[in-house]
Amino acid sequence: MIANIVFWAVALLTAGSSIFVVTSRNILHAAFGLCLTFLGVAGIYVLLHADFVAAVQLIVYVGGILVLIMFAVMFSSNVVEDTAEKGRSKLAMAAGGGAALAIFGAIVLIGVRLTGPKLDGVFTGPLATANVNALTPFAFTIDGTAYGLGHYLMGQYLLPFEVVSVLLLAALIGAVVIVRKELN
Amino acid sequence: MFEFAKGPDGLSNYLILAALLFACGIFAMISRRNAVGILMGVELILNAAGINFVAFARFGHDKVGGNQLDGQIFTLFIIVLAAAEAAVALALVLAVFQTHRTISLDEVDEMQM
Amino acid sequence: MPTSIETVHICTALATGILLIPLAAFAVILFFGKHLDKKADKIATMAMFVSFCLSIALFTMSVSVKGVTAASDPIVYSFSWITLGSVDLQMGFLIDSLSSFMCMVVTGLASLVLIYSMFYMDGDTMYRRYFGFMCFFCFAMLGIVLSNNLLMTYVFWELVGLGSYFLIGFWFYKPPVAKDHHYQELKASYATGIDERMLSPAHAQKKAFVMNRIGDFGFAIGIGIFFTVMLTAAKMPGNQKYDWTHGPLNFTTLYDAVRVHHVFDQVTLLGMSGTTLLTLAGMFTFMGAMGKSAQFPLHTWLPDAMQGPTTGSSIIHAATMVAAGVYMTARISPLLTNGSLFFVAIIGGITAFLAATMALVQWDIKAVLAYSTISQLGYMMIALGAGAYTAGIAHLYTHAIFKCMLFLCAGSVIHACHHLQDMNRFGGLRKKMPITHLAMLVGTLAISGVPFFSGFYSKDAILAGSLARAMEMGGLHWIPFVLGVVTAGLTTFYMFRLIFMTFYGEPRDKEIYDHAHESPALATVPLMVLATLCLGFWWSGHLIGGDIVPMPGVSVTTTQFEAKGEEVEVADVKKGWLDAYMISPSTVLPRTAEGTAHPPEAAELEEEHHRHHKAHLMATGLSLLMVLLGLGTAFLMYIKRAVNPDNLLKIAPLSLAYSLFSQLWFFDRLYQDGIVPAFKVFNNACSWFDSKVVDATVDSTATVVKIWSRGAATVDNWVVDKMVDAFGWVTWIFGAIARSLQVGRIQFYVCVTFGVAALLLIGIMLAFP
Repeated sequence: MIANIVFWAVALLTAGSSIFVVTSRNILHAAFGLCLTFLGVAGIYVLLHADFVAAVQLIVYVGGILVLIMFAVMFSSNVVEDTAEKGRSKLAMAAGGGAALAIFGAIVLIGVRLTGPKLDGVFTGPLATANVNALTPFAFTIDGTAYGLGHYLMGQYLLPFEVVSVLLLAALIGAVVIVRKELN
Repeated sequence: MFEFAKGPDGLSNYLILAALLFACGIFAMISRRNAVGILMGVELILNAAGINFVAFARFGHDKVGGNQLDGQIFTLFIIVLAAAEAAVALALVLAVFQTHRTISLDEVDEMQM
Repeated sequence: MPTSIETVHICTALATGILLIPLAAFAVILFFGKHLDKKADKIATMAMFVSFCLSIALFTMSVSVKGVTAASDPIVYSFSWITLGSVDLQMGFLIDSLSSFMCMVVTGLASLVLIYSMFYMDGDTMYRRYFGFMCFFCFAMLGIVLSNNLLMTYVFWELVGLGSYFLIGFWFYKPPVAKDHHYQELKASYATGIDERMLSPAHAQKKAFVMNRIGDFGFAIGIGIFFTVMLTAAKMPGNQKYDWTHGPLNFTTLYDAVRVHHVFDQVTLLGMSGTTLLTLAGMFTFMGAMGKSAQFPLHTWLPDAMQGPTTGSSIIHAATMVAAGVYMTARISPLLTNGSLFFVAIIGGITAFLAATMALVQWDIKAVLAYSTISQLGYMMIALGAGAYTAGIAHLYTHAIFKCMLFLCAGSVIHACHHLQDMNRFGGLRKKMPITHLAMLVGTLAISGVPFFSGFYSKDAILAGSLARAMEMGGLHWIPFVLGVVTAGLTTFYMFRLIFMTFYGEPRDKEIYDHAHESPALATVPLMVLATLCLGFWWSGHLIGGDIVPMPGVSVTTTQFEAKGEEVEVADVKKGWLDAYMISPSTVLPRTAEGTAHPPEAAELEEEHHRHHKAHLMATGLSLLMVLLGLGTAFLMYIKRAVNPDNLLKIAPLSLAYSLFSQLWFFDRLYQDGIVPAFKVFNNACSWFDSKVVDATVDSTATVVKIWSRGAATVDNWVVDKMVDAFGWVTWIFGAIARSLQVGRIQFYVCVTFGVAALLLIGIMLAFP
């Protein structure tokens, strides 16, 4: 019961804050909203028993990316005057809303399709041999997932892991090169 | 047809939430003028994808094969890529700001015909 | 006697130095001339002197290594130059006494001439360029001297031609002599048949170049024959083992292939083979020498070459240009058959005689020397044609030294007399210019063949060789000998005429006499050095050997004749430096009727030796007689005035001869008014054919093409172009549509992308429930 309450609270926080992010007229407010969204997603991860991912989400998103975004906002605009967007065009709003709704609808439809029609109380879609809600969660281990993730990253996923490390380095250098002021 | 689970133990709840985040991201990307705002939309989309991966790893690992941590590893990679992307994108934003004194994409339109 | 590999390396290094140091000096003067300015003369002289020292080292090296007794292989170094399939054309050095001694002569004389030039060319506007050209000229000549194959010889042969072109036309800006008022004043006393309208340095250099090209054309054909024959023979089954494809034109390879393996008997070219083909090849190759060494009938360029600086003439006449022809003929001498030898000898004889007669009537001091050079070159050819190669080459060396000196003396006189060259206005100069006078006298005695002067030995050897040949072969072979003997007298006469008119008697032009003065030490020291060398008894005898001429110093009493591996000992024949290294004429001759050499028998050698002995005595006697005759006549005519030359002209035959000689036997007239107009007629005919026939054909073809093109253009404009345009229009329309979508806003694209994706998904979902 408490789990249910926590889940709904976190889900509502995430959904509400994300809507606030995209609707807020002030870019700085949107950034704060984004902070809440990231926190909510981290909570979702915890509820999904992905403790390590949740921690990474906190550290990287909230601690890193968000700070970067804030930094960019501060650096690139006059917070007091420019951050309030001078009204998005109606056309853009309508187009964005339409596309977003269409996507949302499409995803819900896919979900319905994957679960399939309910015959005799049983879903028959490819993702649901039984009730989609009856998918078996994996066994919760008291040790958390860090050991397992480390094992896989250093084993089966070693090559992508290394590739990503190279990509990070490239991104780092690229970012430095792009913002570097010309010496002359 | 479609049933919500009552609490945290249902896959569909998470998928709906992720779809909502995704749609919000799309909306931001399309409607925002501010480059940083668009970047926020992108981050929302990435988060939606991450939620999906973890949720499927939690509930669907025995239906699609693979081990129970694969989805989480994908999410980790997504976070890393998001970080890299954010760094580069924000660097671009700063570079654009340095040259144009604005980051409103409406006004940064040299490439437009 | 085999030569150690170290010796080969040292000799090769020395030869490389000798060859490249003058070139380096030329390059330095060419590229840094402006910075060097007057210092260019020092650089050139130093380079030449270093090269001379290396030449001495090379000569002594080869002497000490080889020993004077050895008639063995020369030192050869060669490397691949051009590889054509399996054929390998090489470059390299052939170092024997012939080449190493010639190096000494070239570089030594050039050093002295360069020292002299510091005085003579002083104040010239192109002072440093002159020294650069001299270095280049000597480099080219040294290339010929050291070359080990016909092709490399040909390359440097042409470079020598270029060098002579530079030097003869050195004062290219000078107008033709006919425009010179100074010349017009003196015109009456000139008695040349050269077309004086043309007589300018620029024309002279062209003339020299063109005349040489005629000879070089033959040379190229000769090389071609040798090349073809060698390559054809090399492919034959029996010859595979000889490795003739590597350096087929190398002298040593050629000697071996022609003399030992008789390639010319194996190959048929243009329906000829054997002796006929070899004779033809030899004659064509000799044509190159005829051009370079100014032999009849290509001799006309040499007198004109006097238009260059006197010092340049000196080196051209002595060591570099004209010597190249004789040198090359000596190099190919082992390849010459009896037929080609006779050709060489008869050309030489005619040249010697004709040029001597021309020299008799010249008034220009340089012109006398020029014709004298031609005559002496003819002498050398007589010797080469008689198989007396050592005599010919020895005369090349001795002549180089005394002719070089004579020219420098003439330069000294000309300089002293305000650039006058007319002997009619000289006279009595010996009091004013004692050193020049003495040097010139020594040179004259040497060229006349007076005993104890260098020319005596070589000249006697030539006449002796020619006489021996005539005695052996008989018939027409007497012609070169007779011409040679007559020329000996003529030579003495015209040289003493020059001396008497210039240095003796009363001054004919008081003003010039008063202003005349002896040249400074820069000029007289080289003259004295050369005069010492003309006192030939201490060295020139060594060149030839033989038992007639008494000579101190190095000589040996035995030698070996080597042919087909057999060795024949001949006692009591003294051999000179040249004999030791050159392939002796005795191994070339006699040939059998088929033109193949056979090893000389002891008895034959004994007989030949005897014949030479006899010939030598006779030739010496005859030559001395002719010298006395010439000297006496000159003395009577120009000192004692017992016979007035003008009176002689009243005798009809002599008058006729005089006009013949003074018109240079009408050779220049023939070329200028006969051959050149004939060629012009031919050229005009060719031009007419080209413009009227060939051009008309081409034009009519063009017209047809033009009409065809017009039709094609119409089709192109109205059919093809419209089709292409239609494609363009279609593309443009699509482009306009597509462009309207390209608004340039990323959001628009995102919106469309996701909108379409979503609609697609929804559509699919609804369509396939």
